[in-house]
Amino acid sequence: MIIAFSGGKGGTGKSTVSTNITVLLESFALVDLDVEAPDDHILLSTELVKVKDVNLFQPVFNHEACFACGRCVDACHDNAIISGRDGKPILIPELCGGCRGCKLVCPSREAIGEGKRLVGKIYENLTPYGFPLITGELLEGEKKTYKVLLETRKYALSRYSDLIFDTAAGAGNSIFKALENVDLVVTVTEPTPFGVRDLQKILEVTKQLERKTVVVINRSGTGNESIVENLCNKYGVKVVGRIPYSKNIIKGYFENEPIVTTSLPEAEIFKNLKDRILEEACR
Amino acid sequence: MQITVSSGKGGVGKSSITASLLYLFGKENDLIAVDADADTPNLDILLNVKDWEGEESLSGERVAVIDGDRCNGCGLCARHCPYECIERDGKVYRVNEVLCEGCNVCSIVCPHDFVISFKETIPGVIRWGKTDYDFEFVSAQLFPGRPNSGKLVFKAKKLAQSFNKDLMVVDAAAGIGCSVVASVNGSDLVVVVVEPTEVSLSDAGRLVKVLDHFGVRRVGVVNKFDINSDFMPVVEGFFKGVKADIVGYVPYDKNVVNAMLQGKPAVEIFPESLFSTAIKEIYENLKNFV
Ligand code: SF4
Ligand code: SF4
Ligand code: SF4
Ligand code: SF4
Repeated sequence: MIIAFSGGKGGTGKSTVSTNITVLLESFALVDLDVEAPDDHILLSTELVKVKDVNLFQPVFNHEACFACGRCVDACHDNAIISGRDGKPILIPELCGGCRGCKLVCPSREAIGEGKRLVGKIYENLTPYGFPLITGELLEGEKKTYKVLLETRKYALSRYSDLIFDTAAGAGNSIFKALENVDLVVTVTEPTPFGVRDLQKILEVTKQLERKTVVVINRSGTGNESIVENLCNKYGVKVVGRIPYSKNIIKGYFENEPIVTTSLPEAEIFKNLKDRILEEACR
Repeated sequence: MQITVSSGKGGVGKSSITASLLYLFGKENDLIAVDADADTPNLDILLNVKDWEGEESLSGERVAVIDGDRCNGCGLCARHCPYECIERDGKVYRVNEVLCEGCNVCSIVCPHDFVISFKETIPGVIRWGKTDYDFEFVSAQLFPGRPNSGKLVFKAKKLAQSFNKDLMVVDAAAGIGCSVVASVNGSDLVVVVVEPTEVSLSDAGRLVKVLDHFGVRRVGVVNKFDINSDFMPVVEGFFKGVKADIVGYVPYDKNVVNAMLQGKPAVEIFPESLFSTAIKEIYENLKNFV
């Protein structure tokens, strides 16, 4: 079973909710798919240990074996290859998306060699709470968010069958990939105009993907919840939980201590939420 | 001159701070603002942009389409698609258009002609209009599921440049991906907004590494500095380590949420609040760079 936490807007408390829920669930593995800003390991006090590199293919041109036919230049959709004065290709590595198109069209067997470019890393660790954490990370200065997410997701699926995905903000194609085929999407939002607008975007995405979706309102009591409810009604999704604005939860966040490991009253809220989420996921 | 506000982590209050700074900058400068958070643009809410004056779509993007009548179901395309967006659909294969990045590989490997073609898609739009505050505003908005927010941001900045203003302020997205790269590239100064948490500093650290790639000068702003004051020495150490002066400490202030609910920059409607006092100080400090 895969349960994905998403939010549309950044900073709505997605990571706080997904880490706490995973601690409670015990038997799931948590996958941090927010590859541009992976933070769950910090909230879970876990040192990252790398298990895998994410590499992109990158052509290495061997001009000796090149016929200067120019097919690679035409095939490259990213405009990453320019033709030199002798008609032989020159790569602009920053633009190359690693699709292999050039190598596939090249008529010479040896003109294009296998190169690679490191764009990200995948980590797997056991958290102090007993469940595994898989983290995808895009290297600074690299742009292939999608590729790193794809590889991290694949790695996680090959290792475990019960997974919690913590996804990034936004609604781009990497979010689509993250939410593809999951059993339940839990959208964490906040009751502000920003939160509502971005919630609508993510609900649009889950509708297109035909994924069962529920909503959690974080920082409940600080804004206008009726607009969130109206939107949920419009999309036919349920609000399964409300997490009040709480100094204790914020303190837990600051100190990297999941609130569900304490005996504070807020822990109960998460326990109820966990039950509701499981109930919805199993329906 | 271009100033970019960025944070690495989302939700640290970047847009609220940017909106109030823009309000102050707009009073004394020839200014244009750009919302480069193409995935989740929100600044227009705080700047009250209701009537857009113009709109331009980003073109030149394409997605692959498989002609189901001609496809023989060999599956070669699905095996080679680097984005894994070709799926089996009965006896034939089908492209998931939402995921397709238009790279061309499927049509290269398909053994038959005229099975795979490409169609144009519009990944997003750039809109511009006047704010209530004497400056123009450009917003990049990516449609759900589309890649390449970087190109959209690049184009939005180009468009903003054509207004020929002295100062461009860009509100960047969270993260460090292609749209952030497009935002910070070409900036004269990046304002890095953090809150006093380990998570925020970790993400800001990743952002700073991107800034190092481009050699961009940076300054720091600490939002809600008073909610975790024990952590402030670490924050100060961080900014020292990345050679950024801290130009402002913004306290936690309930008025910020109230202002957001009313769709106004906090500094306009709560000018005497703790938040606004801190923003005015940041503005004075940033003026030295302009
Ligand atoms: S791998 Fe793809 S993007 Fe890179 S140079 Fe070859 S065709 Fe262009
Ligand atoms: S396709 Fe191959 S042979 Fe032709 S120009 Fe490119 S590298 Fe040279
Ligand atoms: S164009 Fe590229 S990304 Fe799109 S379906 Fe074909 S191979 Fe996949
Ligand atoms: S490679 Fe061509 S024929 Fe084969 S499955 Fe793909 S579209 Fe169909």
